[in-house]
Amino acid sequence: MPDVKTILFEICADERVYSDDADLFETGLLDSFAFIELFGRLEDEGVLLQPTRINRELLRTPAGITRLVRDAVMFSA
Amino acid sequence: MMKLLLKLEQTALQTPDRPAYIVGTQTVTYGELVSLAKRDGALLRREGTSPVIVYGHKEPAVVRAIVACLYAGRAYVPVDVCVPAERLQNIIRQTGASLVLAARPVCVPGVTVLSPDGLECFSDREPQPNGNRIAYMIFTSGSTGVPKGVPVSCENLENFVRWEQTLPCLNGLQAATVCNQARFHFDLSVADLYYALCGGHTLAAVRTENSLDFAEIFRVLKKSDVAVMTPTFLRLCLTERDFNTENYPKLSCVYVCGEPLPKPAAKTLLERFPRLCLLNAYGPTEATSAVCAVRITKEMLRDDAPLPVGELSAAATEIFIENGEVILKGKSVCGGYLHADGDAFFVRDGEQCYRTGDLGYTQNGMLYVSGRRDGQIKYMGYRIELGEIENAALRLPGVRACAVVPQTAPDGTVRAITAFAEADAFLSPDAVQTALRRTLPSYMVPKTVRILPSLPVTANGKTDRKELQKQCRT
Repeated sequence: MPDVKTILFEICADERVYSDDADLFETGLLDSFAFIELFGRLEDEGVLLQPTRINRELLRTPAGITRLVRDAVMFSA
Repeated sequence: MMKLLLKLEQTALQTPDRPAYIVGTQTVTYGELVSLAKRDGALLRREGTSPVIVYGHKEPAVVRAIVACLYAGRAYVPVDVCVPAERLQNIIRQTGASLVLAARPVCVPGVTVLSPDGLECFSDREPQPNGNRIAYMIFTSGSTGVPKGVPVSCENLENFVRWEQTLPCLNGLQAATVCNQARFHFDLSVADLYYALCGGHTLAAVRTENSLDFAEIFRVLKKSDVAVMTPTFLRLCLTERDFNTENYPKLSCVYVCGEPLPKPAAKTLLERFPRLCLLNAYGPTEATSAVCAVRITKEMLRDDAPLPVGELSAAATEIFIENGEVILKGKSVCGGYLHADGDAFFVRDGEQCYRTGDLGYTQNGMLYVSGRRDGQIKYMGYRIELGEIENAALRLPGVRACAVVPQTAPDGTVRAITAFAEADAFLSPDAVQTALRRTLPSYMVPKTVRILPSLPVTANGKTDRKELQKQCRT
């Protein structure tokens, strides 16, 4: 499974992404450009997230995104 | 009056209640758009003659202000809310704008900031004579560190509109819904805005500010007949497995432009929408959004050969190759940069020409683009001069040298930008990024900054960019 926090750090360039509960929306770390990058990077790693089927609230925190990726990997296995 | 305004008025007269622009829950009909923009245009003629900054994101007031400027015969300069204040001020200085028509509150010293409704305050002034022939100015990244203004004339724009309406799959549609993804300061939006408004169609915008609202993106796509987007955005849409012809039966045409179209994305799209018309378009801001396009067929996707970017015989301008570089010649080519010299523009046989800096070749009547001659990259459709980021970093105290390198995916798509700064140890990557955010739009700020005691150099004494590329991967 890809290391979500490393990917987030490479995209957002901010150490706050290493905190499980960092609010990526509130802090503006995950803006629309970063969103597109995140989905592209995950796709490169073989993880396809279904934009309309995911709980948007889970995209708010690094822990939530990790959960989404873990579920997607398990689903595709 | 511009022909495209006559077309707009014709739709407003025949079908005043047809939606011209939809964003979120807000709708502006053709009747409303024309009557408001005409009124605003008359007031703008009284305010002055200089270019008008149109500031906002996707609010209806932005579209209203754009059309009002066309009525007034004043050039509009679209500036999205993602542009930082310092850059906005630079754009105002360069254009000599006296007025910001703002859909959002914004503080800009030295100029008048008004919403379109606020223009009433000029009603007691006399209209001013105006010989302006510039329709809009779009600011692109400039290698010297200063954003570069590209003035596009009314003639350029009308030529583009005429050409776009002849494109396969776009020329026969009636009262279609056209999905807009690009922000209005990105000239990809010229393709959807004018196709929709000049054809009597409805432009349905996706808001891309802050975090993306996927529900809104796919809601808009569901009701769209045509979608205009960057290949990067197309890739995002394709991550939705249900994005296929069964669930999106209306979608008949996707027009992509702004960066190379990755073959896997094209292939997936045509597998999911077997009858869809995928148009791959090409053109720089300096030649009015796009100059050529080609319908991508399944045959083109079969082997490893690159995808063409346009049919030469059906282009908006003449296209030829000189020393491996793509040259454009004709009515879509703008007159030159604002306040900037340069040998990119020249006149041949009495016609305006532009050296694009793109490396390319022609084959079987098609244009192919294979790369750049310089340090310009495309990132999420945006054109970025790496030199502009380097120059912005060099202005920071403590930075002695800077090299910015892109990281690319195997298909050539730029996925991230890293800045290497030769600087004193006390300078942190955070401090560099924070400072860059004050002068550059967010898409230009490198996601990773590394501070080095010295940049690696080649045997010739130049910055060793290949070595830096390797360091990006460590």
